[in-house]
Amino acid sequence: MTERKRLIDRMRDFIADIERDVMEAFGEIFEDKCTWDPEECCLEPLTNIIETEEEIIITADLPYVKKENISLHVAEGMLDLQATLEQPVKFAQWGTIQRNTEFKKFHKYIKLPATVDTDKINAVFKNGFLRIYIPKKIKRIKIKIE
Amino acid sequence: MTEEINIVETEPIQIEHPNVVIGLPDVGLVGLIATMHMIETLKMERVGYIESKLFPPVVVLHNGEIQSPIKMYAKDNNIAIVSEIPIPTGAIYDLSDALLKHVKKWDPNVVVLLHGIPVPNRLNLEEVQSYAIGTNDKTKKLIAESNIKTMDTGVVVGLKAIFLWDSLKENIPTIALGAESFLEYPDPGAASSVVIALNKLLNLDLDVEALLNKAEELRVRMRDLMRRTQETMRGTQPVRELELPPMFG
Repeated sequence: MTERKRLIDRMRDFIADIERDVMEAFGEIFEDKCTWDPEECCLEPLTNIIETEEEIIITADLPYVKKENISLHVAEGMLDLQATLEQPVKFAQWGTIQRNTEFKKFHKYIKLPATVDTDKINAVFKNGFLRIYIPKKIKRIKIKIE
Repeated sequence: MTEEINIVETEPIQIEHPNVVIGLPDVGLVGLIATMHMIETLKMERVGYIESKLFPPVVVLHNGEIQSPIKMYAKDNNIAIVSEIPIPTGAIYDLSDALLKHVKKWDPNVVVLLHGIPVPNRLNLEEVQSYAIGTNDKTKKLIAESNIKTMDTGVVVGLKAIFLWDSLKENIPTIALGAESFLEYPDPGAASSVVIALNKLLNLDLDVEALLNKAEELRVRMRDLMRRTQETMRGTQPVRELELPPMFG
């Protein structure tokens, strides 16, 4: 019985580990959170991250934004994207606390999925969309084939 | 299983051979944005709703009134069906089946399903193209006369795929009308392209400029719905619409 119980406990631990891994892997996808913050008067922009072998490409939808009002910073594996709206956005009949809020900027922290070369980051703003090209820091080692 | 979907006409629809336009949240929210624009422009009246336990437990509030998120509107010879929530993958077959059966009772002139076609280079396209798919000779003729390009080879996914297939079997004159669109961002530009084509198909005069003028507002307003739609769309894999079918025609 003791051996059987030990085996069941190990299986339970194993399943719990898998559940944790899955939740970590998909946590960001299934995260249910507000895309607006009435205290900071900011909205979270829609973003998309594509990771290739060489670089990370982040695209952000930034309506009501001009290029000169975008600020981008990278530190500690995080990209900090802020953009001031050209005109504040207010939806007068929306919800409770929201109806009195004038949203003035977009703000989002984006966790970068790899180590990056911060000196070579490049960004383009076109038709209200910001596209950021972030080269990965890749150390290539040639493998000798015998 | 269609009995799980309840389509209710609060105002009995008695239009002979109506044009039925359906816009559900999908790629770029194109169908929804275009259909909403039609409803607003034509000042269509709310005439019914669709409810189901297969849908998320959601109601919406508009001017203090509790409403179903999936609604039907009518005006003159046009009916519009629109949803403010993404349709869960598990409800797609039943909803398509129920819609088809209900629409068939109206004996429609034409049913037009509005949608977005995901293209990876959307950011570089100043003008997007619309494409149509017709289910029978009547709709194919209408598409040709309207000078709209046809989608000849490709893959169609989601509710429109089921609806097109069943329309083909039942000989219901259905057209899937889509425009090249962002996959993951609300795309009023693509919706305007769909509206231009819809004007030609149904002989309407919907103001495209007015839609483009509120593009930025729509992009802000629809962020949450786009996010939720994208989560839901994972089940139907819209990027499969970029794939080439393996068999020759």
